[in-house]
Amino acid sequence: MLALLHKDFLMLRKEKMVWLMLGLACLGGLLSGVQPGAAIFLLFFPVYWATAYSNAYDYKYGAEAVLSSLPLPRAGIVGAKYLLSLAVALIAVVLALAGGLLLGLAGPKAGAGRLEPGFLLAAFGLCNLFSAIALAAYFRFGYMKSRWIVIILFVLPSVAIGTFSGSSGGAVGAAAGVAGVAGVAALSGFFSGLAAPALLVGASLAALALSCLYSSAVFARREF
Amino acid sequence: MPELAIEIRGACKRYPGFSLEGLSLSLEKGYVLGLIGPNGAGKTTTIRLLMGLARADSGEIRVLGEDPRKAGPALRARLGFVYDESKWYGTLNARETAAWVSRLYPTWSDEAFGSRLEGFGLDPGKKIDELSKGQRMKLSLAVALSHGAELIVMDEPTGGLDPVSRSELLDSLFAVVAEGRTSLLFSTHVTQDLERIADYIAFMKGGRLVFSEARDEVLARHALVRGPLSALDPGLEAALVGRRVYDGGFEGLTDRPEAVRSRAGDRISLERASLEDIMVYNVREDYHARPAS
Repeated sequence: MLALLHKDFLMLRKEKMVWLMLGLACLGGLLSGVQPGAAIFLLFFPVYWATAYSNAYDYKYGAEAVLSSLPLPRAGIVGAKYLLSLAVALIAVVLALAGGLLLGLAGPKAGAGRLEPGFLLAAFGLCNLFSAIALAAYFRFGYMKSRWIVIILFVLPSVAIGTFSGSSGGAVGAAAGVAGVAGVAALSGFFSGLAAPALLVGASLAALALSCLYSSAVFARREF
Repeated sequence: MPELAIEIRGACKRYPGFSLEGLSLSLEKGYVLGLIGPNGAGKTTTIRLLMGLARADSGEIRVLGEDPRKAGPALRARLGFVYDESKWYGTLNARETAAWVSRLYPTWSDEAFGSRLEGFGLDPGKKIDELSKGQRMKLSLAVALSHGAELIVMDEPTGGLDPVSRSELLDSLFAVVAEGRTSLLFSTHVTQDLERIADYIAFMKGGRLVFSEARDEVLARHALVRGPLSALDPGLEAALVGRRVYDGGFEGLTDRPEAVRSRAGDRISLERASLEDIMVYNVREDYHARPAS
């Protein structure tokens, strides 16, 4: 699994977009105090991008047959995708934390609010929930169909929630369902404590584990 | 009892519109088996079964003594593969590919990989997307040879290559085979390749095995027959696998040259048949059915 994670990072680091993604995660930390909905979207986007990119390249190169011919258990091939999403979510959260700390160093005059620990936990949990659904769809329906499923499940509701809640800030925020949901959550004081975000993280990790088991079962039966 | 690298007994695999029926095939360790046949013969399906990428509906498959579908990574660590289109990630270069692939093989040798790349004239820093098809095939071969694979399975490795690239790839394979510890299954429809390196030939057609025997025996058993139409009587025709008729004469393939010689004598000439001749005459239905005029 670690070898595949190594491969994914070798590929991701070659993409120019990777700098934008790292910047978005950092910006997420900066914005978290004033606009948590949009900030979570900024953290969520690198996870979406990294998993979509990895899946797209497997599709483009027809890599699943090669991966299945390598000395790897099939569950390891599946697990590597989940590990990637988890790793990118963690990196995004760490960068957001760094962004928040930078804001703290700038002092209260920065006027952008302060980074809530609950925000980081909630962001991490929402990223994992996304991955749990998106990766199960990828292994069940393949790359082409799963793209549409992700759009229908995440982008369209986000446009609606983001637009109508008005909480995620502008057109970009409106494009993120996660942002919209998080924005609503922010309004109800979701981030003020740690209990609810921690519960979300726990639930998201459980969902990720269940999704991984399901995907492994699907992939074990697959023929090339 | 010789040790077998590959053993397939009565394997069947059915897809919509195609089925592999009762395939039985074996390869001793240290030898080269060439799998020939037209497109749709079942070569790639056979390779998928051997690599555990597909499950046989019935029959038994053993690769290095293990069921490839049930065996774990330990078996695949002993196998090398070169598929018809390179499936290595094109945005990475050879050095980066080795960096992650090497972690999967306990017996990987960076030194062997480096020397193979050098031998093949491959730039380790060049993106795989920028390599020619021949170079990508060589990269796959370099990977297969850098972890001491006991069996290398190659699906159409020379398809689409120009003659120079093909010749270079075959030279590389020849060198590997000469070392004597690697078994090779080589699927192709470019039959000249196999005349150079294969010890055994398995010919498939329509999902069935037509024959599987030593290359020299296959070539010795078949002959091209040429002669005037007057020599093509029903008795002679029965001894031919197929024949085509042209102005005033015919050409055919026989797998019973002695019978043909004794029947037609000096009226016909017998020549050495190539694997391509053998494949073409076996496959082309119009060569079987065309009545002599």
